[in-house]
Amino acid sequence: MLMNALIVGFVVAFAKFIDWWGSTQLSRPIFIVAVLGILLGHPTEGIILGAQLELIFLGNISMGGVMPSDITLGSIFGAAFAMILGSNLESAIALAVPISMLGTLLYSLMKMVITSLVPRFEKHIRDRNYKSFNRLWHLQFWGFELTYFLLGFLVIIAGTDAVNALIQAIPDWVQKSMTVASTILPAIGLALLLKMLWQKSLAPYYFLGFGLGAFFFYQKATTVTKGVVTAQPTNILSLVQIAFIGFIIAALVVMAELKNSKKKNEHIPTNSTSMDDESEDFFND
Amino acid sequence: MISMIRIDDRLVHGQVAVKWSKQLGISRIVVVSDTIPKNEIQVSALKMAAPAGVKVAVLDLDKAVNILNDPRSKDMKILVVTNEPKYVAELLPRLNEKPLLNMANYGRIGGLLSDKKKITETVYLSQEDTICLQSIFDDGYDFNYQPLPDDTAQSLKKLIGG
Amino acid sequence: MTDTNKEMMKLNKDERKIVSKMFWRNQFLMFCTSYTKQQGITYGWLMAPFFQKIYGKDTDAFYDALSRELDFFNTAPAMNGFIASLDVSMQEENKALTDRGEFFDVTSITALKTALMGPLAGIGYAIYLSVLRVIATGIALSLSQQGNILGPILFLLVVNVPNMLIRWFTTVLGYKAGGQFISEAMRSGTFAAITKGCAVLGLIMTGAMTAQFVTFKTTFEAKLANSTFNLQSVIDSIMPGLLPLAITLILFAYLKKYNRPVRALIAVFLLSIILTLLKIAG
Repeated sequence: MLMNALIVGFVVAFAKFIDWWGSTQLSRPIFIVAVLGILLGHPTEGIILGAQLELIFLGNISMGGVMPSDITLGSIFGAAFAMILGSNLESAIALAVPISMLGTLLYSLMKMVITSLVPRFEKHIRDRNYKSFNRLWHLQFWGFELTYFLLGFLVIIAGTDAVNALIQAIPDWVQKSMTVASTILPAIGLALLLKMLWQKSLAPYYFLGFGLGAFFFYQKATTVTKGVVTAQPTNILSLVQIAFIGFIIAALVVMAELKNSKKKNEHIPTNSTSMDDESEDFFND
Repeated sequence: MISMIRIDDRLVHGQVAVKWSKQLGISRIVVVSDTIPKNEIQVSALKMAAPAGVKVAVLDLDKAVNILNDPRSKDMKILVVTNEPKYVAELLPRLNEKPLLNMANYGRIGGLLSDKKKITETVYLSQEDTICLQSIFDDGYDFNYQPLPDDTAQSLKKLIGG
Repeated sequence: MTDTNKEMMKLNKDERKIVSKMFWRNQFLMFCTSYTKQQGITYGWLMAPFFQKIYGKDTDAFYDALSRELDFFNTAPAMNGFIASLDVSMQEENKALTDRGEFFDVTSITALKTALMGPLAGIGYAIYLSVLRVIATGIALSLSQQGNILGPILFLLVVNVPNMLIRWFTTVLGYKAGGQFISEAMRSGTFAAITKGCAVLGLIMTGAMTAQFVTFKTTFEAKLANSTFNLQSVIDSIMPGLLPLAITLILFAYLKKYNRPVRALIAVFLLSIILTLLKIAG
């Protein structure tokens, strides 16, 4: 248990590091839960759990320092308990969702602590003390990392038995509805994504993507016997192929747009900085 | 017609520009500053940040007064933004109308926060700012503290005073 | 790119040193954001060594520069290399001019930072959140679902090869090409065009993912006189993926209007329980 707790503590601290270092997106469940699985000795389960949790949290993005829910924390703990206790995906989901919400509270608390340090940073610069400024920055950096490490460590050490009891107590019908929920939950993620991207004039592209994903069966050569290729409609267009088509369409849009704005710019004389031109332009449509 | 005059560190940006323009039905934004019109990068950034269908003019004080008092401006809904209270203080007496004033996201750029007084989550005022605002209050105006249209408006005068 | 542009992007030894240092330090921008300044303090922290080199350790000029750089700051971290290295080049110019006894308006640096953080955040989030992440996730998910280690590995590469290239070249651009370049890009509509392209690609992928990853199916069956009526097969014969599309669009309409993701989440759980108990799904 000690080893597991150390591993989870390390993964939580690492996830928090990589979440902010270099915008790598590697704190997403699809990657970090796989890493967790490999370290805990359940590589295949880790990868699969990572994919399932990613699907559920697809649309949860932290942007501009605003974190709607701490899905990294939720996914790591949900998956860690599921792997350590040998339970299933449903319990991972059942744990990940509430933990991710609690995680936001913790994050807001940490951010409040950091905010309270701002005047101190300013003071060090005013006192012409760069050394202390730099030290304080490192102190808050390591304080941040250490807090998350300890959180991961302690939750596993102290919480595993309780969580085990909780999972045992989940009645069968709840487990079953969790499975159903896991088939609908990605829709929330996609809806959030859609909300971010939505523009009325671009809506057809969403439906184009949907159509490509839903209707187009592609013929995959499965067996070749005696020179005869047997093709079966095994799979819909894969997302790699759709991404390829998408790139072409997006490139066409970009080129058309550039041409359009070039034409528009030609109408405006480039050296029109004089007062009269700008004022006249202001009243034109 | 001036629908609103807003003081904001970041002038025209993202959600603020989009939401207020939608709420007030804005078709023109006038950015007032004596320094920004000379900086080409700032001008292009501001023009680009404008919501679709809204035209942005970046003008110094005198040109802004001319345009805002132009009879043709009567039929347009104009949002005036600036990042310094002094422009509002100078603008108001020269206008033909008494527009609505608004302030949010001010004071976190330029100068250390420790030197300023925190009024709300997003407004920090230096002593100079307070004196300048006081002169505007003395002329019988008040600012709404209202970052986005969904937020409830609060009187800045009361926030500073209390 | 034309030849003069290529020439402009070439780095000599000193410049390469500055750019690569900025590349590494800028990776830390998102650490320790605060409510009052967001990335402001860390922005100052990452600039400090450059200022020390330009103005000299513990000089007045160094502290003046640093205290100017602690303002509120918030942008897409991946794009900040541009702003930060442009900042360094302006500080160098300031130092050179001041040494010659000429005037440099230092407030123009703050003005530039403030002006650029919004537009760069816009294009940065468009590239990262609606394209890179969505495509990488789409590609990796089906592999990961089968437990294939290639899933997470591909995810890492598809996001981070472009990520690091973007980070490197924006840093070079900011230092070498400077403000003129970005001003031109904004005015000519290049920014707007790229952002639109990203949105198009993101929407296509979101649509495809709706079809492939929202896997809800109804198990409702009714015994009719001498055949079974299977609801899902009827729906599939009308239009495959109709249910996932409908669910996603309903949730989208709700979130667009009320923006309450937690309520949507709870509603989905409740709905799942009801559907399971009624034996419509599960």
